[in-house]
Amino acid sequence: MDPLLFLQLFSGLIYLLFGGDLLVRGAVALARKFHVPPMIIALTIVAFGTSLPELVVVVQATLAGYPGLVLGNVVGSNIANVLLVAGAAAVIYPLTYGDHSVRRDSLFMVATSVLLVFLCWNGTLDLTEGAILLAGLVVVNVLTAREAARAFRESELKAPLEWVLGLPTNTWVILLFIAAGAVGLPIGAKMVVDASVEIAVAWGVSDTVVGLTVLAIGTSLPELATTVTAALQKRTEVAIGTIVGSNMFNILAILGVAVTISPAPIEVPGGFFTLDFPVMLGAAVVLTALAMVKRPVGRASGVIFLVAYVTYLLLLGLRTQGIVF
Amino acid sequence: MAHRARIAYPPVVDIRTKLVFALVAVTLGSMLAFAAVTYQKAGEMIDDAAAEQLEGLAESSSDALESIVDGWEERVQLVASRTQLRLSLRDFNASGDPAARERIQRILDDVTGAVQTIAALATYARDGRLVAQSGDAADSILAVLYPMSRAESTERVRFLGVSFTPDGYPRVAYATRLAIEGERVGFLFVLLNGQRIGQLTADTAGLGRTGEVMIVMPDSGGARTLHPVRGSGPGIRGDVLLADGRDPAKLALEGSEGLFREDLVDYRGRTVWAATRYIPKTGWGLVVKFDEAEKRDAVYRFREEMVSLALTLAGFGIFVAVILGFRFATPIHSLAEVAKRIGEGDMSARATVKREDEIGLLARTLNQMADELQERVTELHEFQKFFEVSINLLCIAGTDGYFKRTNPAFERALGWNREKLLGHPFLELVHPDDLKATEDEITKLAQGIPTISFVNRFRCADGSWKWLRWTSYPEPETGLLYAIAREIEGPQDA
Repeated sequence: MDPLLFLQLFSGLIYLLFGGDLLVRGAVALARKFHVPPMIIALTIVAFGTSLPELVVVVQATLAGYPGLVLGNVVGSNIANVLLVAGAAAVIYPLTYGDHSVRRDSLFMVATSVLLVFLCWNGTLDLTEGAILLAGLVVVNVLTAREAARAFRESELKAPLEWVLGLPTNTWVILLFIAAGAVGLPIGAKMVVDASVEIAVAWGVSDTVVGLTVLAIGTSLPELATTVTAALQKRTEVAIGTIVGSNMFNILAILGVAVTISPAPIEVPGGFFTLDFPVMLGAAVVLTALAMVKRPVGRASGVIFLVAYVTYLLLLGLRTQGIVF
Repeated sequence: MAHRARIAYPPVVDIRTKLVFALVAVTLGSMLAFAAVTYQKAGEMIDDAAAEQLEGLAESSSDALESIVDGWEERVQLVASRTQLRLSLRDFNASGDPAARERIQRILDDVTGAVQTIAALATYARDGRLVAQSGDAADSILAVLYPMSRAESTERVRFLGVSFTPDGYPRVAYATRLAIEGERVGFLFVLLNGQRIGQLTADTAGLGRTGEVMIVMPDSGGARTLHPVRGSGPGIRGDVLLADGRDPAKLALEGSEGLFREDLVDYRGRTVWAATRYIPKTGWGLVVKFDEAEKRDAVYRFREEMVSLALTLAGFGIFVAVILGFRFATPIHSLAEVAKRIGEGDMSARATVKREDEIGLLARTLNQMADELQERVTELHEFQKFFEVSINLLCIAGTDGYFKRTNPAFERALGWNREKLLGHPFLELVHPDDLKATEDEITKLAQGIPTISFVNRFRCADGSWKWLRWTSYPEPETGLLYAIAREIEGPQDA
């Protein structure tokens, strides 16, 4: 097993993150040069641009013939987001709920997860089912658009686009940013997909298993870092909203795109119904239930989440060895 | 949108991004330079290794082939040395005795039955008649071989040629003279199975995916192999069509031995590297070759690995640069914030950055500057108060004839507002009778001579005139006059 593969995976993720960041900053700067209102910029370029890394990986993995990597990554990420990211952050500082929309969104998340399991029931995901997922994305976006606009106005009052530090003004620098981003993203995606596939080969497991574990944890690392940092600064009110939004986006957009562009229907391994889907649904339901009764995710819950995650990984390992399920 | 002003876009590329670009450029640049050099060197090394490997394989294969050929000759000699065979043949020559023929037939049957390598045997009498034959050789083969052996018969074992079974397996034919005490009694023909040639060439260990060992013999169409070529089915004889260009098989058959790396094209039309040997005893050629493309594959794979490694390391370059960038940019941002607050008049703002590097120095200097500034502002405030509350008329004027600044006492005494006082040449307000003296006084001030006591009249807003006694100090480097005036009753007061 070549440890360089993990370095390559990690490095690929960095390319994706930084490439996405550069591309967004370049695009925002360009839009600003053409006097596009900040509101439009935030709701279009920034909203889509921050998801670009995932989308590029999806396209790369699917077209390279590893759609199982995407399916595994989506399910694994949704599990890791709740059990690992929320769990680790909650151990540091209790996670509260920013506003009432989180409760509605977490219901959406459960509904989306149920929809996914339902669509997978026949053992494959085909073009029609991909279209259904993408349609779901449109519906959710329409339902939350007004809210997003209002949230943006509030956020603009509080912290106006502060995260986009360093917007270039010089046209050449803007073009450099966009070009570097456009080059960095596919490089990163290729590195991530190649490394994942090679890890799967080296371990003698399917690409789906690598998607569920290594790639899922890898793609959750940025969320883990930001959420844990926020918890250390005791600013946890946006954490659950971010996780819920990310989980919905994973299923509807990421998997939707993968299924739609995949030349052949994506096979759903049978083991998903006995382990991975139940864990994903269970995590979503528990998080939603806590939101419904307005109970913050406290330290005890955080520990339980983490223990559940480790247990899940162990069971997954045993399944890979053919011992259980 | 009032809050728009709060959006502070740094106007240039931020430190983090600059560091990233710099580190990525350095990492990629140095790695690629390193890769280019190593690629060149490794390419040469791989070339040399490949050449050595080809040479080694050619040497060992030709040794093996020669020992196979020697083994065949030994087999033939072993059969020919059977005394009973030669004695019986002499008896047959003498009398045509059927019993002798029987004995010969038995001997031949014994040999073909016991020795697998021998496919067929035939014995001819001294006059050329076929005495006995054994094995599965077709008569036609013997008919072809017989005249060949007649042409030149020697004591030595002679290699006659190769025939192929219908399945395509090669058989090698030998002839030798049978003699007793120098007396020729007949000929022995031996047809040997050549499957060991197939075994020798079937082993492609160390030759990669495309390499092969070929044993070729001259043929009417140019040359052919004695065994299936790699990639064709088992038992199928490979007819080698010589390529138009430099074909390694042609070189080997011509007797050119050595390593060939340039412009060599094999029977498939592929560019190859080959080592060749000539086998003089049989007139065959031995070729060990592999595709140049496959050899280059290793180099390409190596280059891909290097590029992948460079990209991976550059990724860590980005990571380190982002972290470094944040470490430097964050305190600088907070310093900028403090400087901005001070600039907006918040004299209590101080930097909280505690670092031992240049940024820390900048923070300490900024704080010192803020302290200093705060003192100056306090001082200024005190003098401002004096300026404002004074009952004397205080002003700063230019030698250009305008007031630059006047205190409230001016407005109170003369009744003009500030706009009137600052917006018009003050000589407009001077009494016409005092104009000449005032101009003279200003000329003196412009030369740097202070006015201790000078009296003139100024017009008030209500049209009356007021007597003022002036004390002025010029500042030649700025051209400004600092002047204090006091109202007096009349010139007698001066």
